Amino acid sequence: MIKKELIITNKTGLHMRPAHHVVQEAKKYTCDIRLIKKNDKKSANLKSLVSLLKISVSQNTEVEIICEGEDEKNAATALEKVISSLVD
Amino acid sequence: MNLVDFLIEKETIKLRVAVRNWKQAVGSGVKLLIDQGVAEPRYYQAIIKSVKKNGPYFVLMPRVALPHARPEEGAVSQGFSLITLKKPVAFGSAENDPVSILLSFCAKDATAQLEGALAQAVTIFEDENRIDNMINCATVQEMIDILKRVDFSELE
Repeated sequence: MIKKELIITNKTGLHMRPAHHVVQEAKKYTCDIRLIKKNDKKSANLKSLVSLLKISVSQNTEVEIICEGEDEKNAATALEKVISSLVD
Repeated sequence: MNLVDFLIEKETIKLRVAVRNWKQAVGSGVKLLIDQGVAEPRYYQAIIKSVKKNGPYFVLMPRVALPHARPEEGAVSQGFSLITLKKPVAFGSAENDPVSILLSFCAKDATAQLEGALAQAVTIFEDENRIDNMINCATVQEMIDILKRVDFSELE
C-alpha cells in the first residue's frame, strides 16, 4: 500500500472537468485507488467520477491518496503529478 | 434552495423533449434556468463554447449529462433544471453517449457550485435503476415521486 498526502491547490477544486481528468488517469491502473479528505474523512473511489464528485473536494483541502495493488507505485506517482498540475 | 425543492417549486422539469442535437438539448435545459432568472442568456453560450474548447466534460456517465459553465459566465443564483429526451443525442463522449437525461445547473460561486449543486446532482445518478426509471417517466408527477425518494443525507 502506498499513501501520498497532498493539498488541492487549483482554484476550483476537483470540479467536474479536473475531476474527470484525475479519474481518467486513475483508470489506467489496476490497483485500488481511494482519495480521503482529511478534514471530514469522507472518501471516494478515484476511478469513479460520481464517487469523487459526491465528496466535494474544494481548493486547499488536504487529501490522502491510497493505492493498493500490483501497480500501486506507478499509480501513486502519476496521480500525484496529475493532481498537483491541475490549473483551473 | 436545494435541488429537488427547486425542480418542484419552479417547475423546471420537462419530459421527452424533442431535439435534433446536443446543442438543442443543452438549450432546452438552460432555457428553463434563464426563464427562472437564475441564469443569463450568455450562460448558454458559455456552455457551448466550453464544450467546443474542452470536450463534453460534463457528461457524467452513460446517458447522463450535467450541463453547466463557470459561475462568472452568467449564473445569477443557484438553480437546476431536469429534462429527458424523446430520442437520445450524442455529445461526442465515446464512453457515455448517447445522452437521455440532462440536469443543468448554475450557482453563484465556485464553492457553492461544487459543494451544493454538483454533489446533489451526482447523488441522484448513483443508482442505475433510478436512471432507467427517470428515462421512462411519462409524467412530471412520476418524476417528482422518484426525486423525493433520493437520499441526500450523506452530503450533510
